[in-house]
Amino acid sequence: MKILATYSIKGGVGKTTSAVNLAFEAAQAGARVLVWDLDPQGAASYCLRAKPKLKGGADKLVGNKDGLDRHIRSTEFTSINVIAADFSLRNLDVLLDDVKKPVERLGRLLAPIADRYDVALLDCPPSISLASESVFGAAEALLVPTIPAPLSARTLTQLTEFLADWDEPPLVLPYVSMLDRRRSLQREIAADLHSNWPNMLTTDIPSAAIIERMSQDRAPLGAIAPRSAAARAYRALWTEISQRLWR
Amino acid sequence: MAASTLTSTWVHDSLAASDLSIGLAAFGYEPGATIQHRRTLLDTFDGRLFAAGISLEHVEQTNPAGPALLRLTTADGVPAALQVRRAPRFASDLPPGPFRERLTDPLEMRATIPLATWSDTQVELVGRDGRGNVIVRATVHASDATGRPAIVEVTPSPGRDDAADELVATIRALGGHRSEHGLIDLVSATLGVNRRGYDSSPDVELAHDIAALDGFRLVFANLATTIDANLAGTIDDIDTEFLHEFRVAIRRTRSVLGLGKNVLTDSGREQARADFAWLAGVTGPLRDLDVYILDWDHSVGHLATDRADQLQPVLLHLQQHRRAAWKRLAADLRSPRTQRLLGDWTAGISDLEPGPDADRPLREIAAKRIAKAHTMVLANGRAIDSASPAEALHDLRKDAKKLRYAVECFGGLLPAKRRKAFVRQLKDLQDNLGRHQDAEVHSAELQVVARELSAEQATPPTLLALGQLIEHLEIEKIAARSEFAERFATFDSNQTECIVTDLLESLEP
Repeated sequence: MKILATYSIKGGVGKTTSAVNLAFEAAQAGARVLVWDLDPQGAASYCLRAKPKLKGGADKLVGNKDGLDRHIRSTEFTSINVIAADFSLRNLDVLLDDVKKPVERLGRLLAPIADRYDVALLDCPPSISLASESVFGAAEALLVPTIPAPLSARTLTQLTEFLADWDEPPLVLPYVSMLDRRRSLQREIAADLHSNWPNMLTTDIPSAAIIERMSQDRAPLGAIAPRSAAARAYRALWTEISQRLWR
Repeated sequence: MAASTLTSTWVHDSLAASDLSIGLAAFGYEPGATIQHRRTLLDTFDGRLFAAGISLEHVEQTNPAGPALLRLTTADGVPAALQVRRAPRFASDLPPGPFRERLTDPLEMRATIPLATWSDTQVELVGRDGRGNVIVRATVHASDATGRPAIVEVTPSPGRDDAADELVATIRALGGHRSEHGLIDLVSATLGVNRRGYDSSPDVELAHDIAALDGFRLVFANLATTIDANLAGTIDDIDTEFLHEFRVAIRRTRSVLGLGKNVLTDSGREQARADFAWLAGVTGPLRDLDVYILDWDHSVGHLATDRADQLQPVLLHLQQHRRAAWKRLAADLRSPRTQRLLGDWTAGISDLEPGPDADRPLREIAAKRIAKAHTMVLANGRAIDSASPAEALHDLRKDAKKLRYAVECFGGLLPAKRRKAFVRQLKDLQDNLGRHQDAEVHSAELQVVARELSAEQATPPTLLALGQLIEHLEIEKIAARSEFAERFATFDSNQTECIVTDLLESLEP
């Protein structure tokens, strides 16, 4: 099982949209996927129609009293399971601070179910905190949606500088998110991001009205509008990620 | 408690699938569309996916027409499906990703072949909770290939075993009973599919007191079956393992013929040995190319990526050689000479003429031959030093093969644990000798390729990379050669001697 995380220090860049759509596209491409919603807002859980409830709350989850199994739920899609978020995850940092080796904790929780899934996709809240460090400790790659805005490159720099001190940092795979091609400034910034960040994935995710329908229909784009430009972009993005991470 | 994702299978002996679906719908399970599929179970000739606990199906949606899927299931996991245009032969035919990765190791170089194809009509019904979430799935199948009117697969949602229990109670109430076997097992049983695949191992059951000639006949018959089983796949070039197994069975046959002195008559033995030597000879060129092409990624792995890319014309050239070698071999194998040779041999095994030792116990003959072959390997191996020519190692490799085949082909007389322990020791030595031999053969092959490449293909960067590759093979050869003494010493040890003594003692009355 490869552990991937949709992560960004910034909020509102398309992390959850990416997590849900990439989970769908990964499953369509033959992967067994576990989405772990770590964001107390629970938007990924909502879009996958999972009840926003963690049995025993984040306390029990982090304490690893009974393992992750009891928190796993099915979705409409047979190859996608989910660990839903609830509001107790707002205390995740505090709870991790109380356990030994907090940076290793999420990875340890996932280890017992590693042979049952091909991909664990962690949808992270925006911030850089102890919870983020635990994600970095567990993940093989961070999928970083990056909006074509002037401060985006700075956020990416902050992240890579932070990871520079790590012995085995996750691979950082940024990609352009929410790109409005009608706006020349966005096109220019996107081009700069591609030329300045060699690891930047080549697929850009467009800004599209259809994406708003996801939360209304509570389903990934691939299920509600498979031929839309945005759905096709996520499909291409997953193909690119597969080529980078699998043989 | 661990969340269950195990699918259970339920059989109805009297209720039709359509009535069962209606019945379940009446209990509140939400039916989906009725869909017809043509399903094809895939595995390798030797059942590698089955051995790995994997069921792989090519599922074509025939009515209403829909995309074809490749579906991979295991006994205890979440199912995975991948949309495909056609069933893949090799794992490398699939796009990179986890699905391909799961098949790469079990399949290795083997191709998938269709084991069975059947039609299936299915309806999926889902149970939902009050919030509309799926909490259990039931898939009702109707297919002649199951031998039952209706089969239901129940897949609980993680953490909702209660919903699965409720569904199961409903299925029971409607007359269903649990099947110990899954849907694919039921289909396999009805259609007579052997999911374990063909076993090319030379294992033959041999009674401790069996007469020598009778034992030889059983061993030959088993090998003849393996030769025959792998012949069509070799001619059709389904995958490289058919030829490999075909050649191994021929070599074993030749080797056992060699061990049959005085058990069989000399005239019978010599003719058969000459026939099989010819057959082995015609299969050699293709196998040499197969070994090199299969090992290509490893061979060029030490080169820089751009240098390795420069070698693409060389790989293409080798593949062209391979194609030509396969055509020649296919023609030879289809020829009246081969057909007659194999047909006469197989038909004549039971009539092989007895030599003077034919009635002696096989174990006596086997003990003598194994001891002699072992002594030969030790003597010839001990005689090799740094000044010995490469042929000496090549000859030792042949001696080691003869010893191994003697132990394997008469393995039915030997305790399995000791036999395997001995083969492990011998295999380490054989690997070293094989590495030396492969490097030599491949280096010679590449020198031929270098001369043959057209001016257009043989650009200076390609020739430079080719030179590096040949040089690397020479280094490989030297490395194998320098490791030989250590490997041989490990084989020529008290530990191996004890194992051989144990083996030979087990052949005493």
